[in-house]
Amino acid sequence: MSEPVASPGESVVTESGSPVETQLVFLHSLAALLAVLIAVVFGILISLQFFIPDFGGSWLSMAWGRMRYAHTQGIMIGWLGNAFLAFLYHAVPVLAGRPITSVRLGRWLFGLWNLIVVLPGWLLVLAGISQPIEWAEFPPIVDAFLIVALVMAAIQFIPPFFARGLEELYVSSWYIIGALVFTLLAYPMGNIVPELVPGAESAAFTGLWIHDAVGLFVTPLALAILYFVIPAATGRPLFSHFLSMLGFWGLFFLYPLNGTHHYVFSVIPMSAQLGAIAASALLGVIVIIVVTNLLLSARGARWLLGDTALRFAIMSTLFYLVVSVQGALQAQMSLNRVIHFSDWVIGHSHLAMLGFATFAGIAGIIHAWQRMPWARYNASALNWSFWLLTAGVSIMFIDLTLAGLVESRLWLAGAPWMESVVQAKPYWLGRTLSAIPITAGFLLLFYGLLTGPKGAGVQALSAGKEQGNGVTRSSTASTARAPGFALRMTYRVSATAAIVFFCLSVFLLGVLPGRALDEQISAMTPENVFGLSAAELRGREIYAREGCAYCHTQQIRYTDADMARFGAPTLAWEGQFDTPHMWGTRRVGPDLSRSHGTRSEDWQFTHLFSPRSVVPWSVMPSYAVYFDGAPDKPKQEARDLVAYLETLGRARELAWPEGDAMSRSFTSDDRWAQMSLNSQVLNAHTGKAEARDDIPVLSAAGNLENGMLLWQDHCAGCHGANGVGYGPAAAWLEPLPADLSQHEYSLAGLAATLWQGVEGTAMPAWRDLSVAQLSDLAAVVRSFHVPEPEVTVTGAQRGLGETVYRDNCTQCHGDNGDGQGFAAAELQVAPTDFTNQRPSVGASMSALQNGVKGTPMAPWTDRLNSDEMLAVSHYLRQFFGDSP
Amino acid sequence: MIINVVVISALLLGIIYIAIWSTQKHVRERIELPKQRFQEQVNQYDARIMVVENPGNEKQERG
Repeated sequence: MSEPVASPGESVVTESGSPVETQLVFLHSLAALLAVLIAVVFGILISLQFFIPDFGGSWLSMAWGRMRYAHTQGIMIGWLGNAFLAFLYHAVPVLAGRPITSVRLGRWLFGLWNLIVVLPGWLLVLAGISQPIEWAEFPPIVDAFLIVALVMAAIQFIPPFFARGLEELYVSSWYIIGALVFTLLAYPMGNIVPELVPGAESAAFTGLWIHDAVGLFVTPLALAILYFVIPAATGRPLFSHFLSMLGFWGLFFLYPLNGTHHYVFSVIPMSAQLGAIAASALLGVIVIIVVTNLLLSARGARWLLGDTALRFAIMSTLFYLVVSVQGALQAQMSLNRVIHFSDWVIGHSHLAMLGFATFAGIAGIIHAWQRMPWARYNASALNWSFWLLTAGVSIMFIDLTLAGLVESRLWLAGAPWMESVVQAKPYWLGRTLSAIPITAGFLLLFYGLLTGPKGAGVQALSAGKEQGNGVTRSSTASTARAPGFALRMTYRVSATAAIVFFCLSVFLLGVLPGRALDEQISAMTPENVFGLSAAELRGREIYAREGCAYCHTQQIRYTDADMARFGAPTLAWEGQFDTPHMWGTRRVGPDLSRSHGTRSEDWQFTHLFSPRSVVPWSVMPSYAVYFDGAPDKPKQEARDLVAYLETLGRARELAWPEGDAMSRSFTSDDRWAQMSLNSQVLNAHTGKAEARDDIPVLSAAGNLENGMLLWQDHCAGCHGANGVGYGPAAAWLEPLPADLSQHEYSLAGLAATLWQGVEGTAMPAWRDLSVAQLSDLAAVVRSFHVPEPEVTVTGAQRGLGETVYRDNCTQCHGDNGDGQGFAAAELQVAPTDFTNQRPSVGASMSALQNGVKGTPMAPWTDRLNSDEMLAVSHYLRQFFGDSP
Repeated sequence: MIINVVVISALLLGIIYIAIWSTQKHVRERIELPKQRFQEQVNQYDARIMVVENPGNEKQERG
């Protein structure tokens, strides 16, 4: 028997003579810790941008979307990937009783994983070269290298198990083999297929991958650690290997079937959605079995006081229970309808990756580290690390869950979108503050593994063993008779079936729905739908690389709340040019599926350049870098991006209503498609300017105080605090916002303007405000008016004004000044309705002399002299009449 | 339709058979064996590590 060694970099030998390559454990652990610190910094910078949206300034690499890509990929591949590999170098020789395949291969794998995948992956996404697929954001070239790395990992860690009969494999071995095999199957599917198929079909595969990334890569390796660490730390065998195998097979059969639950109430065929929902519920049952088994294995152990690795492992198990039961519940339609797209889901994913998986990863690293006699070990720092991380993750989870409930309540209630943003801000602050204990916990983890006396980990281990961690060791003798062949065959059949089942899941939840969607697209696509132009495609690339889809969805769900807020649910054919899809899974900002015709181009430019000048409480980052200093000087990128936004919902709107009518006849048996096609309104965006016949009657007794608060939030950005039309965004808009001090408005006119917006201008409709709020706003608008001193108009002047008006103005403004002249319908911006809006003589003179930029109103100085202009300015005021 | 029924029935029967078979005592005991082996392996591994760190324990551990 060879003696273990105690010098850095050399291996420690197992009882069977297989070396544990401690150098590789050390390297991957260090890489993991560096990666998690960097990924956490990305996370903190992202969360800070909810309060300081322009944090990155003109440096696009610091933009929210790009850092979000770097954050999630850093956690999954940089942190967890390295942590798992570190653990595998310790665990596989112990489990298999044989060495890993090759130390040299291990060094190549380390280099490839970190220097060719993680580091370049980060740099590329920060440079804007990425892939807009959730949990697959590293660009395809990096994907290719990661697939090579996964093959190398499989070669490194699976063959050592070959010498063992299947019936001899401990459950951790099964999870390790399963994770390596299934990740190799799932990764190419999730990263490549969505790049090849469009829209809803692409989303079906993305849904599979989102869940496979967690369920077939992260979860199995985390569970391998828990099944390894808990018995090792307690010194007592697992409670039940039978239950653990039940959990293993249950997990590998059910996890692949869960994916579509990320797109419940979407256009993906309901059969696939219901299958995923049922699988999610069953998975919850399996997880309860797994967790019960793990906790029973630790019964009697003083885990909160004893071995640090055990403590992390048990806390990971508890997090696993919570996150899995939560996952099973939130997949159910009744809950999903409420919480989907909200911060609830962000809390859920953080509990999965930062709670369950991270705590398991730390348990694995500490467990292996403790057993490297040459390694330093600071038990006190690690103890603090545990408590800080536990507190931080718990606070973050609870905080985001509450934020999600607040957001979803407001969404369901039909409150203005920004209300949910404003109400979520305190919770977002809580999330940012939770980063303090989390960061401190990771720093102390780093510190605890690099300081302290050499060999202190082993000493702590000895002390723990002497105390038995609170449990007594049981006998490991067995008298079992051995139905080895039958068991071996059962495992072989199950393993084969699991792989077949994975393929079946891709077929059932990816290929089959894809075919159904293809048929739906063929049947329902209106004639002559055209794709995106070159500029629009460039804009789409910008939208993708800046991560816009991570705050704005492009899918209106088949729910009443979504239909009321955004309009007709998204049909499959609408995304037929989207490869990959941009559906998104989270809404910080509103859904953009129906952006076409919703906002004017100058509003879009202004919003991109300076979001808070037009939406004061917006948390969207500024993209001023796409402009030459001002919104009215957009660079090509800004033009492209706005051009792309204008395409969203364009095809269906242009085909409306004949297109939907035609589709309705083809899909009479498709209940969900009918739900979309029978929607009364295609675009329900409350800000879309459009003529409507449901204008409310406002109260003349609006509350000025309340109105002024609304004014500051919604109107001051353009019209200015005192209504004279020079708000921060005014200079960038054409036509300029109205100077309200120079106009007198009737209540009916204001109701029409506020309810309908002004087509062709940046003035949106405000249909998300209540009638009472609109009345309050109307009171404020009317209060801005500065009455003119009465001027006596002579009969001759009046006659002249009438003549000038009749000869020059009636074509647009109408015979009686109501803006309904015969040419009015052809104009992009409707002529002023003088019966509801009385401009001051000065305002009319200015319009006549200078024209109104951005409208068809041209200067009249070449056709009218000053007397005629003055006369008509006085004349048109009489149209205002007796409106209330 | 008939093929679907046959295939699904066969699968269900197979699963039920495995479920019943695997609950038999001697099969259960056989399934439990790897955990005993694993426990021996990790305990022995830890014992060896502790011997390295604290040679005074070597005799006792080997004993």
